[in-house]
Amino acid sequence: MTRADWVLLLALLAGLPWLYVHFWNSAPGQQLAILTAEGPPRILPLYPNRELRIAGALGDSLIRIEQGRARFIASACSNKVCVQRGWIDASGETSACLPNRVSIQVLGRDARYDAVNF
Amino acid sequence: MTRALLAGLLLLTLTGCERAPPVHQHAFFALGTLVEVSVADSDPQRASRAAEAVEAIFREDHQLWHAWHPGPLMDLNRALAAGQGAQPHPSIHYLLERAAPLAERSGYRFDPAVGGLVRLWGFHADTPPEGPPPDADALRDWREHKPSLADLYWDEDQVFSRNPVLQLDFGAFAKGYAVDQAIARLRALGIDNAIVNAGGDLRAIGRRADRPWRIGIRHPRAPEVLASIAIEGDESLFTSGDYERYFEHEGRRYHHILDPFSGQPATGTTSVTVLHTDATTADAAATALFVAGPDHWQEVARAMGLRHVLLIDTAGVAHLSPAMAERIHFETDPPPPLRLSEPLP
Repeated sequence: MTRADWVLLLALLAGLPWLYVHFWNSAPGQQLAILTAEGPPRILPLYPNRELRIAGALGDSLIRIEQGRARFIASACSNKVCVQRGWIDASGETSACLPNRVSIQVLGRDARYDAVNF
Repeated sequence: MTRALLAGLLLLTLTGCERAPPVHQHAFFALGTLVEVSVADSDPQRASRAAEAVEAIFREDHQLWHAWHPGPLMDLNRALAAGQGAQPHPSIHYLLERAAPLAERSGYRFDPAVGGLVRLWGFHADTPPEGPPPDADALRDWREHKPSLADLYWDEDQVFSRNPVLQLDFGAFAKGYAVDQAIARLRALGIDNAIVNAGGDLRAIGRRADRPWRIGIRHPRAPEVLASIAIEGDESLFTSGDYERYFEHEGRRYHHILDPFSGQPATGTTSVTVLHTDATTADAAATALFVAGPDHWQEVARAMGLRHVLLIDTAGVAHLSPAMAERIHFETDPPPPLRLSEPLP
């Protein structure tokens, strides 16, 4: 073991906590599933930035995809719970417009929660 | 020695690459909510078939128990309103049998006989109502009749009502029973590890291969997770919140969890979470405890045989039973102010 080996060893050791924190927490998802009352979900990449108009039970829901995250920006419902939910970007996160029967979910590995009571 | 240390460190980094096997996910809209089925099984085709069987159950229940779309429940309500007896659909018969003792033990805070009240408030619609609140005379009239499940009586397989305004609505109950049916079907299909989550009302069995299932509980006033709980084996976690269905009128929020005694949305509570073995009981209990509120939830929990309860009041204080405090992990920083109850037997 030379002095350089020890420096390398210590540097690697110092990096270990970062690895654990990074991989233990929910990884950012890479794909978005859009579910409506009709048919199977549509799976889309979270890049590039764009807006999607999704037809729901009451009318259209407008979904914005931006820098690996997604949100409702408008929906044909009265309460706008979906719009207030804001951005979702972690694996497993869901935002749903129940009246319009449109929901979006970020897909990816290592979701922090397997299910959420909402 | 140094080599052994290096090898050990390298092994330590490898654990970061260990991943859980994939969990089959299936989602659909039914019973007015988003239903998510997660199946952890070594056979992806079996997992997929099982999840689709769950969807079929929910779709059938949706049609059978709908309170304002034509179907068996509307037929029964029409007969009761006309003062006639009727033979309910077998699944509605079963719901009534299960609901009766739960309603009684809850002191009729949970009561599927409130269909007329739910209609008055406008919640019998596919979209949330826009208000205003119902006419005071109409509400007084309903309260004077105050129907309850105890007003029903049976003559062989026909059910009758002593109360002319009794209308059935299984909105506070149907999801629980549907979740129990779904888990029974999954088990019959050989699935031992799964979650059926009907809009935040869920039952989990088994585990997620390498660890227990991790369930988040939504914050009633912010788009984040308030707390989490690990489930392994077989447990149901049900949350009722005032944020699920509501309307605002002249700056006031009117939500869908109605107090059968006041005829108004229940006050004092924003959400209740109940952990219990069966989903049917958990569903009824979450509604009953919400109606009971921060001052009376403990007596109702005892009467209904619950041990694990979390109630968030309108001031944001988390009231919880000691058994729940042992299981739950608050995810917010800082956690909410806590108020621990006496142990529930």
